[in-house]
Amino acid sequence: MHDASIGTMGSQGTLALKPGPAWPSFEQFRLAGATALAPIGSGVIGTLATRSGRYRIVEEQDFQRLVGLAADVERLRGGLQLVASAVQAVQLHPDGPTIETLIRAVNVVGELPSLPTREQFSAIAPEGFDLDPDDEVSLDPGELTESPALENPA
Amino acid sequence: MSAPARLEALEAALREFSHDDRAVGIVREFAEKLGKTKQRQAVFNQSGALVRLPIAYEAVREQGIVCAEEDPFTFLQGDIIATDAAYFLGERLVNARFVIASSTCDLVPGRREYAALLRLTPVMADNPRAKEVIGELLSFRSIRRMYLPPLADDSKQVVCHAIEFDGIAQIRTTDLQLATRYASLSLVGWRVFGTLVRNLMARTGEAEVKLRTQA
Repeated sequence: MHDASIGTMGSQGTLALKPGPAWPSFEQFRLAGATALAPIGSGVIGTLATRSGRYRIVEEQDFQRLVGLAADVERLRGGLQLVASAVQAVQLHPDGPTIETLIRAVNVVGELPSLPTREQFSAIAPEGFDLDPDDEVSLDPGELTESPALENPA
Repeated sequence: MSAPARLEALEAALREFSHDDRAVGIVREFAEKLGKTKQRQAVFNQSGALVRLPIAYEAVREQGIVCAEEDPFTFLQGDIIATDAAYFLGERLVNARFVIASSTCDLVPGRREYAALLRLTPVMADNPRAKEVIGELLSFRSIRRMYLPPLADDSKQVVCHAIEFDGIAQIRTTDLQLATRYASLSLVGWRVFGTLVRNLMARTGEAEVKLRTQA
């Protein structure tokens, strides 16, 4: 295992979804305006009921966490199928070789890193090139020309 | 002509192209002529210099830049994204941003199963060695990192970003389609990025040529 920056699930894995604001119609949602979405986030989801169906509103970062967890579930599925197949084989042929296969399958899944995640790498450091000792570097990008305004990620 | 001779001719024909490093030299020379790092920051931090707002398919279709027959896209090579569904040496990276390394044509949904991502590391003002890091980045002498300016939603503590070429993360293209898109690279940003990515994968020196001819 690595340093403390790595957890088996970490804070990202404890995403507990909680019900938040609910709108019984699209019209009410429209009238409430964008500020009504403010409570949504950090696991709080909104509910919008319309004639065509019921929709859940999830904040972008929560959505990314859910996609990340779904990717892990997909990864685990293969291992669980292997164990399930080995169990079925033991049920049909409860002999030494199939039991050995089951044990191996369980070991393989058991040895999988338990859904490790990593939040950060070691701090960025210079590589050690020779630099101009009289070099001038700004640590305040505001004093330089600004990069494009990227207000709303797509 | 015998087969080996024909292959020698092939090697000779490829020599100037397959591992050519002149493009990197052009980038380094450009940076050097700008003067001190502060001047380089001013040039590369200009609005639209290296990064720009995400290029949206719907918008370029409306403008007639692409026609209906061309593949629709949701992401382009070099896009800056956030996702929690990318893996690096078996670990799922969370709270991370990336730059898409795969070519745009490989990002069309259904064309490839996986995409390659490069990690994006912020350089913070309180990093005691930030000035050295930025000086190195903007010399473009590094074969491990590439400079990107701060993005508008960064905190004031972020002085710039480094695209990390040391290690490649992977993501399923289906998961990539759900990532948050923050920015695209400008044309010149994409050229510099392409130069460094190509140099990352196919770089050589005279010693390696000797190894393969005389060993």
